Amino acid sequence: MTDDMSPLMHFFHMGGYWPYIWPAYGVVAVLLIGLLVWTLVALKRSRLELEALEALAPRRRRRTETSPAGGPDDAQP
Amino acid sequence: MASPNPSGGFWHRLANPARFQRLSAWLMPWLVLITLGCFGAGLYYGLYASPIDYQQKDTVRIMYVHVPAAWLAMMSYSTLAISGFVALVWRHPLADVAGAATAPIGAVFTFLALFTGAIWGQPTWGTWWVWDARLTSVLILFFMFLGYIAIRNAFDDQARAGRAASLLAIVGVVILPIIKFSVDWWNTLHQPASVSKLSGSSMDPAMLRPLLIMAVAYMALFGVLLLLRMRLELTRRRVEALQMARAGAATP
Repeated sequence: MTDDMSPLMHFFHMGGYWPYIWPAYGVVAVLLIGLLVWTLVALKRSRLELEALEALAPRRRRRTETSPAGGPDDAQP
Repeated sequence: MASPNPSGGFWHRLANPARFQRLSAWLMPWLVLITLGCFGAGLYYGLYASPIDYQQKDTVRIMYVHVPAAWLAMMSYSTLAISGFVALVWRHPLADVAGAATAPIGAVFTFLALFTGAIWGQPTWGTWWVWDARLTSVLILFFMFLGYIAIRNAFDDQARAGRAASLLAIVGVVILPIIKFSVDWWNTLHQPASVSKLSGSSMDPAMLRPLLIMAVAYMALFGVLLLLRMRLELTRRRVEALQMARAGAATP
């Protein structure tokens, strides 16, 4: 049975244990790559959020500087 | 007055997020290179250029993804406990960030160890799961990572959440020797240690090679993920601080 298989088929056949070996490697690949992609997407998203907030910050600071009674937060830029 | 901690200088320099970002930017390309290179070589040797086991046949190849996952699960927990300790005792802000960043990575590696172990168990033991000491203690480790994440999300106050989670991580460190020695202390289907033994490794070099290469690949990937998630955690905290400052400014 295994003798007339092409070398590639022979490789994927894994001596008949392909239903165990490929799912094991597959789950490892999916979860590790998934964790990496999830982390990169979350990092990108929160960096955009930070940029948006930092772009808003100078306007707020200008306003508190001109207000007669400055809030406690305008001491530190 | 001199610092009471001789290594305090280095660690305090690291506590500065800007310095951490610079160090991590320098480390990142090397870690990515090691990750890609070792996964390439490890998969080649593990799936193709290594012999089959005389008893387990081809299923022995599951070892090359299973055993490093279990090592990394324990390494992640050590990282969690050490960063918890440093965060509690020295109030090191980056240690708290490192703990928060490690927990999801540790949970994934522990899940992979359990899942690939179950797939390996079916053809070799004839069962997916047994409630023996090794498997049960690793399952508990998985729940401890989840518990750590849950505690961090349970408090509105970040500092309190960090302290509670750090305390759990430190107390839970007893699980590590239990996992390590469970195969010697109790009867189990799981095979005993064959790589790290006092008498030297009992594994064939042709199988040890892919195993160690994959372990280095996993460790380098752990480094990549840890640095990325620490950057994420730092950015999130900065966003939160700015949002609180804005909310404070909006209500006079």
